[in-house]
Amino acid sequence: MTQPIITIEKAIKSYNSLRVLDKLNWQVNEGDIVGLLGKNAAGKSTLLESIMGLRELEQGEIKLWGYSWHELPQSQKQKIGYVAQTSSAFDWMKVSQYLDYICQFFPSWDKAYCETLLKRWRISDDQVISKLSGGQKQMLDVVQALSIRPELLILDEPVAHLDPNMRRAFLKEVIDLCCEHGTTVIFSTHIVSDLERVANRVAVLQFGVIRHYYELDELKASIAKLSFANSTKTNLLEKDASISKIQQFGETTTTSIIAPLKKPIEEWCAFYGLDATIQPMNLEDWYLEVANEFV
Amino acid sequence: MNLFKSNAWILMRSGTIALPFLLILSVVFSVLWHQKTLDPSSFRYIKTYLLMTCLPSLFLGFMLGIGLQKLKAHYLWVTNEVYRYSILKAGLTVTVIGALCMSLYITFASEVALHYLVLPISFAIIGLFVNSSSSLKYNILRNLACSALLIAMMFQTIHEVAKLIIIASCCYVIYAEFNSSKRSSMSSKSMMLTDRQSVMWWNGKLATFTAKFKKSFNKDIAWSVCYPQTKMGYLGGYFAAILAFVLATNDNELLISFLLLSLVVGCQFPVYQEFSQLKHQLKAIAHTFADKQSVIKGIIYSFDKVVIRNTLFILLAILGVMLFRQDINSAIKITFLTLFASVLFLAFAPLLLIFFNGCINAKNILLFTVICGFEIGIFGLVHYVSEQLSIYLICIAVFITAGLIRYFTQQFVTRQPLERIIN
Repeated sequence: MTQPIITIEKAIKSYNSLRVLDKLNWQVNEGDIVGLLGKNAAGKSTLLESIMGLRELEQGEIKLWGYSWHELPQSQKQKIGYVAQTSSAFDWMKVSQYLDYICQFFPSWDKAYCETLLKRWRISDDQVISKLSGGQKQMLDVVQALSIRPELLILDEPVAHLDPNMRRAFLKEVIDLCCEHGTTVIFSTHIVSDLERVANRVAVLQFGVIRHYYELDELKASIAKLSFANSTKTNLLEKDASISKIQQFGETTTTSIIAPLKKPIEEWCAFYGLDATIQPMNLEDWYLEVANEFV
Repeated sequence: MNLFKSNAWILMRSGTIALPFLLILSVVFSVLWHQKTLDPSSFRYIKTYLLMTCLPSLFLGFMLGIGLQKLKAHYLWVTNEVYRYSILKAGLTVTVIGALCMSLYITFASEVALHYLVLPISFAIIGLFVNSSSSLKYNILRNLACSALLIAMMFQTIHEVAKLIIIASCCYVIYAEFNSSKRSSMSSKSMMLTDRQSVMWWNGKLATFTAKFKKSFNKDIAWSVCYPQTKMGYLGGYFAAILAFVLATNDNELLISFLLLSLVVGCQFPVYQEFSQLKHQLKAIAHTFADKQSVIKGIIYSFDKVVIRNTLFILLAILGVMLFRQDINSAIKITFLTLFASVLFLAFAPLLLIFFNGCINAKNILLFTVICGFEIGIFGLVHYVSEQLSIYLICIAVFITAGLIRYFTQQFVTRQPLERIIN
């Protein structure tokens, strides 16, 4: 049984009067690759920075490997790789100078692996960082995070500036890392197709809490759009947490299954006495459905 | 009128905290002007007048030019004539009014001819536009030419010629800026600036250049929050050179002391402003430290070293000139003044890490005013009270006060959440 690597309990974080994290509870297990989704300004960066100890919660607790950030040994902190939303590389240094400087803070730095990544992703180590493109700077941040052979990797929109080729290359690297070293990965993204390619769990941050957190395969097996004739069983359906809001259009009622079911969809429909037309959903449609659930 | 007001406000707000600093400087110069004992018929009289009016006006132009560069970076500069002309007009108006405010009193209180008022205004306008080219080489040449004109004005033999060249240059610069706006459709690439010509861009270029000569960067947190040239104290060296030049042509003790104080304090604020722009670079490594206190203390002590290095450069320059003149008394007084000024600055320095970003807002103005208030107090103590009280008694009082302030400011800052420092 895998151990929880991150445990968050009743986390609260506000900016002025705006509550960004509202008694958030979450647990991430060792070896998971978690894709974190959420609207703009949902609090994804705040959540990831709070996990990294870069932001302090007003209330609640975050534990990594069972330790609060203050108790966590320094040697363990140095095994966390982090890529911020905006590049933190030093524009005035050369790539080689920057990596030589950064590696001093991480005892587990793998220089050979770092050089392999630079070559693979065609980043010249003699190039001044200010001359790199936005995508290359982002890849440099990723190289810096991967080179420490992390046990925990936290990435805040790491692929926002990357072309599809580089995104594929990056995702492949993440998968290899997890398979070889059992690294736990949390990455926030807006590109749902990338999440599908690499993650085994998906989390949606909404209204300050992790409103949805599922195994990806289980979720994909269940999500679908349903349409059926108006039924007296609609009242029962409304109490089922697996579906989104029920809408009626004339004589037809529609809804969507947005959470993993414990049984096949047909059995579930039969349980409610529905003769429904089932239309499977892709993950992006699912995300749009849950994001607009309360709109 | 509304457009003018909003442009003028944006220009001043996008400038830096140095703007009120320059205004304070001009007030002090006005006070010091009355204490001069120069012969009005001597050229030294005119030189002192020019130094007290043209130098601050030039820096006023530079500071407002920073705001102008930021506004030029917007795409509307290229596509919208109303935007361009309204900003240029607002820029010129604010610059001229600023230069007049800084020079009018001294001009009327002096016996120089009224037409000399044109010179600080010209320097202010030149300063506004001197860094507006998209070419680094061209900007460097312009800055060198501007400095050469300022220096040339201080020599009696070429003074008149220099005056004419300055006024002509000012007229040309205004014509060129307004005229280049009309050619925007033909050369839109050169019209639109990104972050070029900003102080950060220049600093970044200098840092890239300096980094070529560094073989390795040791595990020092300072590298992640300031440029190498800042760490080495280039501001202190630069101001030391200015001070040495001023001392070579002037022996007004009060003026020299005040300039020393201004430079010792003035050259430290940009260091903390730079930190406010680079602190996000800490995010990659901040979590690797044992605790947040280690990060915060590391930053505080790194910047303490930069402040001390800057001060040492300036002090050595001034002591060198004083000792060359065999003016031991002044040298001792100035050493104490520098020591007190730096110790007091270091007392407040931790607060600058959290609150200071160089922009004109209430927090920055308050912090700036409090620090300058203490420093002016020190100036008064050393120059006006040290005859009655022993300098050593003042020394003890300053160190105790600074020590207490530093204890509380450091305690306050180290207890802040890390996000307050690096976000």
